[in-house]
Amino acid sequence: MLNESENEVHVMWGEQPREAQRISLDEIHAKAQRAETRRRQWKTAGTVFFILLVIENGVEAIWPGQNMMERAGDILIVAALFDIFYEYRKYAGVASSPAGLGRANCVEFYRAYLTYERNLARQSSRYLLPFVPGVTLSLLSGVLGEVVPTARLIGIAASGVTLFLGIAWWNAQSVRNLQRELDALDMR
Amino acid sequence: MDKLSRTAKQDQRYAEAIAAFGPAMERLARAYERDRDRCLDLLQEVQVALWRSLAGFDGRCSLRTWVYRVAHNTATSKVLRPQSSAPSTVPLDDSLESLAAHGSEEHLLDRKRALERLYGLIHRLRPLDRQVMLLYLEQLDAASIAEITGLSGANVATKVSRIKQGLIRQFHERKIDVE
Repeated sequence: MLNESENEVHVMWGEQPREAQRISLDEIHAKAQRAETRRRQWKTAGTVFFILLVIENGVEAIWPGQNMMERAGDILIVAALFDIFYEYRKYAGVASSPAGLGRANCVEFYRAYLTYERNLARQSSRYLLPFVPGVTLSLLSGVLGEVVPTARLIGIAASGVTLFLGIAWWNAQSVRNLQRELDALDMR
Repeated sequence: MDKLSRTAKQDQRYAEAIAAFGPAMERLARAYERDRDRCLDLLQEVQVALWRSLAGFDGRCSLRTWVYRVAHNTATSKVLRPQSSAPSTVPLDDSLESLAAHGSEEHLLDRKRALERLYGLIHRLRPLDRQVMLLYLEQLDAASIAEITGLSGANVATKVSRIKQGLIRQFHERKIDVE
């Protein structure tokens, strides 16, 4: 009975009608080429965007006449950008190895993914610590010297702190969940 | 070896892989994406990933192991992305229980509905449970499943045994209902 039912399941599974059109090798080549082009374009666009942001904040940091708060904010933002860019490049390097998909078994692949995500969330303070205070200082310096109600100044500072704590809390939750997944994986 | 002959070899291996495992890859795509369009996108993504990967195929494992690893790893990475339509996952045992609980309500030979229910179960499984289930359904033995997934042989045997019991209980109950 067991074998009969098992066979029935296998037959049902194996005899499913095929829906997808077969793709020719030329199409595969074209798609692979397009994927590679897209990957390069994203990489270039990301690099250009990063450089523009660094230039914009760097120029603001050294521009004559800027107040100290603005300068400090811009320098912190530049420091955070460099860290984000470093992590992005590290990930892009790992993700662009086609043969890695066949060399790694499913557990290794899944573990690598979870570990990367966990490390990214765990190291978030490296970019959060300079980035959020940097943005907050920049915003505060923008209204400094103007006649701004104290409540608004407090509001900006409080938003910065809340954002910082919120992201830190979110990342801590992610680290916990990912670590749980990793622990479960190691017990297999 | 020049680039042209490398690509020719890559093409030849790809053609071999598709001839042998094309239908299995299509079933795998369905098991990862329930939406038809997304499923076709995933299938194409898996095929492109397979072709690209075969440039680095060194024969240290069989072509079958390589193909299944590429397919599952590609599909898993897609399902794990935040924008994916994948629902929240449940442990293998819970899924099998829910499958068995609903089994008797359906007609014995209604394959379409049975398959829908089976896919519904698979879509809710965690990545590694899903991989074992799919490889079992493709009739791979425990040693091959262990090589592809990286799970221990004992772990695969336990999981396969649970899957078998769950699936067979469902089908057996249906038969009794009809008889």
